[in-house]
Amino acid sequence: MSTTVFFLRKSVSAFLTVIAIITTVFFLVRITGDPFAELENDPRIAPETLRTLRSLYGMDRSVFEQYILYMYNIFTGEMGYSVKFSRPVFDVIMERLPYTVALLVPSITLSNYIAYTLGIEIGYRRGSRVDILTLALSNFLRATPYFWLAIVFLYLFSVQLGLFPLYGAISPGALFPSLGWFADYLWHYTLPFIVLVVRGVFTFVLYVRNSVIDILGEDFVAVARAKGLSERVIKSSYVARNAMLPMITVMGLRYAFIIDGAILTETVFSYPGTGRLVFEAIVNRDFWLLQGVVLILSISVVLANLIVDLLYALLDPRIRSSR
Amino acid sequence: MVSRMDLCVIAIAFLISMSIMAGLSVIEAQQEIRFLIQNPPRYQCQYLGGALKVGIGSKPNTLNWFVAGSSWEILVLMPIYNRLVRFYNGSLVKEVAEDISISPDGRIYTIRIVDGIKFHDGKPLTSEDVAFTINILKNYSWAYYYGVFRNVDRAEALDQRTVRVYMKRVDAGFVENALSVMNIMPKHIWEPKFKELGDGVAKYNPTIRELIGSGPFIITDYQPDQFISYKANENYWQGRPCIDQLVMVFVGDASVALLSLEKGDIQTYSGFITPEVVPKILANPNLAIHVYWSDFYYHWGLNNKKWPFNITLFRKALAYAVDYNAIINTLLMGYGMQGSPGFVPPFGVHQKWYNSNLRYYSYNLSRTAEILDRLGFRDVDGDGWREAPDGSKFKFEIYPPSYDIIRVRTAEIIADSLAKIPGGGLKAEVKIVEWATAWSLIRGGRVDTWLLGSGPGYDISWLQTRFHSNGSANWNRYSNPEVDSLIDQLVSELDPGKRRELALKIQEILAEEDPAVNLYYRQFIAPYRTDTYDRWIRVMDDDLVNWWNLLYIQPKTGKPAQVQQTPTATVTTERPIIITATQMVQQTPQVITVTALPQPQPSGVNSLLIGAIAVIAIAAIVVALLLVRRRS
Repeated sequence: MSTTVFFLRKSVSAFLTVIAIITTVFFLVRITGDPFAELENDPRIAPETLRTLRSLYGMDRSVFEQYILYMYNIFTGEMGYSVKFSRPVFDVIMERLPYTVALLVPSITLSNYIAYTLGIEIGYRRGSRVDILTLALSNFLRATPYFWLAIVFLYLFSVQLGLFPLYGAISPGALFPSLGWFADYLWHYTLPFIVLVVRGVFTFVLYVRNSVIDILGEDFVAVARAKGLSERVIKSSYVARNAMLPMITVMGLRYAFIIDGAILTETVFSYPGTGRLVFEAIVNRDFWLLQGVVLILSISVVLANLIVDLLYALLDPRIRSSR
Repeated sequence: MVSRMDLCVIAIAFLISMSIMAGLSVIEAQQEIRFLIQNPPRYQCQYLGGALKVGIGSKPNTLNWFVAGSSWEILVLMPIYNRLVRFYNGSLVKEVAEDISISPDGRIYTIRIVDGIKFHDGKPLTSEDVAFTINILKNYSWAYYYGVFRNVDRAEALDQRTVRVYMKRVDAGFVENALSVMNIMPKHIWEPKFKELGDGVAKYNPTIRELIGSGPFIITDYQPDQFISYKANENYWQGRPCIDQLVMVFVGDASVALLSLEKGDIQTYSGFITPEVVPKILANPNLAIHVYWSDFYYHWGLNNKKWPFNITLFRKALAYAVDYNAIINTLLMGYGMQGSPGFVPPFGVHQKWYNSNLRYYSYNLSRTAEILDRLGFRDVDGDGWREAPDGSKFKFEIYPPSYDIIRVRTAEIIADSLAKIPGGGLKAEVKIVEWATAWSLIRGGRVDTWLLGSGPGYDISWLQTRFHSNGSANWNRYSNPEVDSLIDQLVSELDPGKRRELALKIQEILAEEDPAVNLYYRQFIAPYRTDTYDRWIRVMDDDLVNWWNLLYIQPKTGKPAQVQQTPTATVTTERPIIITATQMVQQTPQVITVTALPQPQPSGVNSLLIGAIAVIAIAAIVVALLLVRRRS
């Protein structure tokens, strides 16, 4: 099968997956109840207000009618209006998405790289002090709540040492896009970035390590040693490349969940990202916001899967030749 | 002899004098009722300057005041607008309205406003703007405050300074419920918007340029989910605020907020903190706490349409079975008081309606046992639990929402007490459910009992929504024709004396009939710093991010104020706060020491340096790893 047909098939199935996800979420979420229900406990709200609000957001029509309208709107680029924010879903998400992407993409990339490099070294030095130290640290950090780690960092660096701010992404008064603004942003950015990288590294270093240990036991490594190749060449050409393969899936898919991303980190550092948005949309039964977020999430997961598949095919000749 | 002519003259004179007297009485009856409003408190600024930073616990989702419903949204919009009247420590004080009078039949309100007020863009605030805002709120049913304005027929501007509001029906609480919460919106900004978008304004978020009001602060920047910053309106008509700048930052987590407070980054936190952290706060000499009352009544709601909760005596038995002191002292750690059985709180704006002769229920399980025995709920099979009068097994459910740990524990305490009734306990199952689920069960009337916190309105007519059989928020489904007719009179009666009598009578009946068991009112804690700013105005029913504080708080040192305003009547800043022995409110003496001005934001050079160091550090780690790889 040629690569173009392969690619086409994947794309079509990806597209259909996204449609299926949106449809399922659309109907499921409407079973959970009424976004306007809580307003009823507020005696200042008149019954007419609730009726008008419901019809303003299209809830006075049948579910199927709403669904058809929604799908039509999605294809024309209109994501609907959020009940809680009283404005277009697209605006709400776009206000926050740049911050999340700016924080998560570099931190994921860096932590992947460090985890990969460190994991290979550790896999080689199995049983040594570095290995045991990293294992211990890794287990400790994976067991502690994310929240706790973030607050410890905050307490240590912001309160005790006073080096970093306690909340937000920028301080009042900074003007975009001056140099001062970027400096201020970086200053706010550092702590959440470090927390995410630290946690990311120690979560994934174990995977790489185990993968490397498996590979070191393989025949071709023994043959390479027998051939007399230097350890450096073996490490870079044989072990590293083979260790990368399972990692691509795991570490590559981390990019897919950016929008869902670092909700706890965002809460502790009061960083204005989309993670908190998702949580609030669920809790407040803000259907349209939730649908908008799920749309973006499903597209990014499906896209990430596609890319990972392609990378796999590119990197592993065995997969290419089997087609 | 009196001739016929004389008789005619006398008769005519008599008729004329009668008609004159009748005429006079009609004119007297037409004399309007002045609505009594006090003057607001005024303070003088000794020092000007400072950038006050306050932390708030949750973010506003929209800056469109017409749809703003959450308390945070209302809070961030508060500093930029004026109102006709406002509540201060439980009483109504004047603001833009100089005078309000009501026609004797209660159908026409005439409001005279202060002259010379200007919006932030220089245009004058006239009666047109007031009339415009009222008309919008009554025309568009999606507006948050539509419910309190729906009795308005129309509002007209008679001249630059007078507004006349015509009512469809008498609404005795109109001024307190509606005019005290209405921000006066500029007609020249919003009328074109409504013309252009119509109902679309419900989904419109205004830009900073459109957030123009006449208030003491002008919005300068809004970063979603981060902060809103304001600067002082130098030309504010009541005199400029003492501080130069105000920033409200959204701090997502209470523990982070307290860390910021300790560090001196924010001066106060307007969010929820638990009583356990109070000793730690008070241990810091620069921090103090302000304790204030919430008028929400947290009650054990009973479904009056479901047996046996439709039996008045059964409900009373339940009221005796609650250990009120345990809830207040253990759960609330002393920050609260038992709820009034007439449901009207004894403090704040409700104080004038409160019936102080009510007998409060006390924890008395033997009375519960006595009443249950009388009703026929006895333990016939000796299993320790009482059965229904017909002998069948009896149990009921209590639904506390999971998000409020206090209510969850309260439900458990109640269930425990019910189990301990002498002569056999009542089986109560505590079902902890997520709020949205709990809420749909409560409003559906499908469950036995629940724990809910409900807010009363400003004017006593709030009783209609909660206890009238047609009330829109009568979740207990309580129905009593006598109470219904008293409430109907209460809503349409204008005379304050008569209204008070009606309110007292209604509370008496409610205390007797006990449609729900009123458990507690809560106190909340607002921590604040005492070292940088002076004259924190502590009102008894609100935290420190309130209108008066923002206007009059001043830095301890700064530019001395040049304009010496004549001091107006001093008003006490706080009602006595009921503090039990477990609390300690530290009042630091106002010693003016030479303290540094609030720290300015770090200069670009400083953070640039740290940013550069961070980047270099990361680069160093990467390089080190590369080197390590190469070595082996």
